[in-house]
Amino acid sequence: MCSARVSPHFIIRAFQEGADGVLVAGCHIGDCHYLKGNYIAIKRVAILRDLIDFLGISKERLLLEWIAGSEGDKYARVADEFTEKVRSLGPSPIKRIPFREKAVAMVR
Amino acid sequence: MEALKNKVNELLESGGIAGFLGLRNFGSEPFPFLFTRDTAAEVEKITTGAVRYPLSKILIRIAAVYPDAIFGIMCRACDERAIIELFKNTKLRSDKVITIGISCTDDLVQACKCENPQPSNLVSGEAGKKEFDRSDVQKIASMTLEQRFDFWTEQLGKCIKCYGCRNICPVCFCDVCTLEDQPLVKRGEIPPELPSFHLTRAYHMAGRCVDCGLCEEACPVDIPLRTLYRRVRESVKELLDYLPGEERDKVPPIQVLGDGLFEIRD
Amino acid sequence: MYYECIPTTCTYCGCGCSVVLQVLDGHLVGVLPGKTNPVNEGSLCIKGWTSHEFVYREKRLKNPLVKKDGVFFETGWEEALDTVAGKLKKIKEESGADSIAALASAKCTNEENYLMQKLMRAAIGTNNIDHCARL
Repeated sequence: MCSARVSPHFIIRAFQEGADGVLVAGCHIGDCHYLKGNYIAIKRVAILRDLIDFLGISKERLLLEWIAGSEGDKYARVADEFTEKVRSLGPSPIKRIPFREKAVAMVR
Repeated sequence: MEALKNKVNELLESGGIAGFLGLRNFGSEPFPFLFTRDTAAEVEKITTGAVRYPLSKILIRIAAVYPDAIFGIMCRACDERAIIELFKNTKLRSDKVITIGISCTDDLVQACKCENPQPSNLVSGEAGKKEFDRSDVQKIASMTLEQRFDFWTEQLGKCIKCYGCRNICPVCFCDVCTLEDQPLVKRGEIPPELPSFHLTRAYHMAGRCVDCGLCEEACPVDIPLRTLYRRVRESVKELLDYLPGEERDKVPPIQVLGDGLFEIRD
Repeated sequence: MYYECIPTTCTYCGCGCSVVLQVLDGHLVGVLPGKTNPVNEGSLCIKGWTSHEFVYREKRLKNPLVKKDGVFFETGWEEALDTVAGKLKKIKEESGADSIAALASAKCTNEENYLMQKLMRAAIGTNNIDHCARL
């Protein structure tokens, strides 16, 4: 899947479902099978990082990295490092939001 | 006001425009109205008003029915910024719209504190002062992550999902809205999922928001939406060097496959 | 080419928010919140924002219906009102006034709701009157 296919909605949905971090990996700039797909990805992720940070979700929880199909070792390294990074950040604050069902039950 | 009346009458009589969209006093209150040759007598009741209606959004609707007609539109600086964005998004045609600038009242300038309250083609009123103030963004940016998250959870938790922010937004023009997409936004849930509902809308404001503040005005529960979208506007400026509505000739960076941004900036 | 905005009051509930109906060439095309009204101060709820949508809906009830043999038939106001009045009278005679109750609506005006309770109390003779806002 092209990194340009990673709609910001997918990233937002992942965070909403409780993901502690989201890693978007795409082909290197200049190496895009669809010519310019990764340019779209980088713009989107850059804006979204700023945005989630402003909302109180650390921008370090969202990472975009260029990893080509043949760079298996890089993929493993990045995934390891990112996992460590996210672990040090702790659970996503979205999990702290009281569940709606709980709130509704309290009202009733 | 006389200058505005004369200008509108002149444009209508010369046939330069088919209609002029502005505010008309209906009773004692201003409401949007399309002045045409048939209703030229109503130009007497034209007003710049102390309130703002999304005139550019109304014009999209009218222009969709009359695509070949040329329209004049009364616009404040924020309307003008929105119209520039609408040109770029092909919702209005720049050769079919004539903007007539009006200045904001001092009260409005004070209340809005926008970057630039001066439209380019000023016909009515005087060029007032600028009262630019972004302390609202700074205040939230200076909080810790945790404080920020709690602040927004509290604020966005008030949302009654009226869709007013979207409905009144002059640069929200899609036929199909993500916020009504069932897999993303569940129906009948109030408040909507936090913070994804507002995060989605805020993301969609990237490269579009013209900082008019109508969203916050329309919000029944006073969520500081404008601050949120302002921050998005600022990050687009910082990251992609694009300020929506300010640069007539610049192509919106998010809408094109563009070069120039190779590395992830922090 | 004709476009104007007509200020009116939202029909959905008792709050009485000001809505502005957008009329383009004789057709209702949308609503805006009344910016100058002190009741809603330029905002609306989701019902207010969509309060124009029912106007041209095909399913909108435009004529009174009377049920005959379990099926609804369109009819005129004369027949509909005669039916209602006749049935109410009959029930009152057979089972007493307190066997009748009425529910008024928040979508009606104050005056209409006043008349509703007047009808129940004075004409029918019962205090069985309630309002949807209390449910």
